[in-house]
Amino acid sequence: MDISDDDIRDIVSNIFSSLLDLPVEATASAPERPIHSHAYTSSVQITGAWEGAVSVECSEPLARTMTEAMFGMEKGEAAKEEILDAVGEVANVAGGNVKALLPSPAVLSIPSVTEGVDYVVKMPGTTAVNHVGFSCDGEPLVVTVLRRAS
Amino acid sequence: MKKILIVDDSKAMRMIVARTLRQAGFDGVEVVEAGNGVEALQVIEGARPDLVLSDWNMPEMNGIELLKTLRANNSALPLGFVTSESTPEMQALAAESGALFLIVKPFTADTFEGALRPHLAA
Repeated sequence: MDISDDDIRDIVSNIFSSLLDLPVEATASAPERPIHSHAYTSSVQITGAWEGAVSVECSEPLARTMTEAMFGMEKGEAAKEEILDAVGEVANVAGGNVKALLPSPAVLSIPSVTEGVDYVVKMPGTTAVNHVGFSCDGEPLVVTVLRRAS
Repeated sequence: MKKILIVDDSKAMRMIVARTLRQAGFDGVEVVEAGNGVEALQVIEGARPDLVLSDWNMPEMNGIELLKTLRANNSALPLGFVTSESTPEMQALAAESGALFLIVKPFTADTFEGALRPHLAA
């Protein structure tokens, strides 16, 4: 059992409206990697009755915007540590909401965050079952759900 | 003045929870913070909060371990969860361990108002 792309669109829409108070719209397709010259990828692992991961990738400008929204900061105030925290928490909330739609019992990991200019994130043994694109004021965000082969 | 302890390993989420408390009309409460269950136990001893709002999934000591530790120490301190996860199993475990409620992230001010008002009266 997996979840649908529409489930992911609902989850991301709720996160942006309730937690961030930022506009977001689903795009017809997810952008090709690299989605931006400087990007952040945050991931949480799910283990148990369903095994895999939920990954949230966004451009550096959007990571900064989300951080400023979460902390109630002025533009340009977010420090690196705060951006890592905020981006990780977006993946944590997205992952928790995805996990609720999957078979239980299962355990959600603490989020991990990767940031850089030209990087690859590999999760061996997994297959992408959802890859959904979004745009917030023209900045890209992609949510990927990876299922580990049983 | 009522005092609320917010426990979450994300500083961003602690700020959002504090902001949502104000938006829900609880702007008269004093907020104290901790980054995990171990820190929370220390803060509880020193600050004596009236209510704890705790994340579930945290490093070092998670939320359910915090609640069980409190009850094992004969503390009846009211605790509600604010977490990104909610399964029937978690809700049952939270209830049988003595949690007041389980609020799922993302949340709204209305959700906070409904869950907390009965426990912050007077």
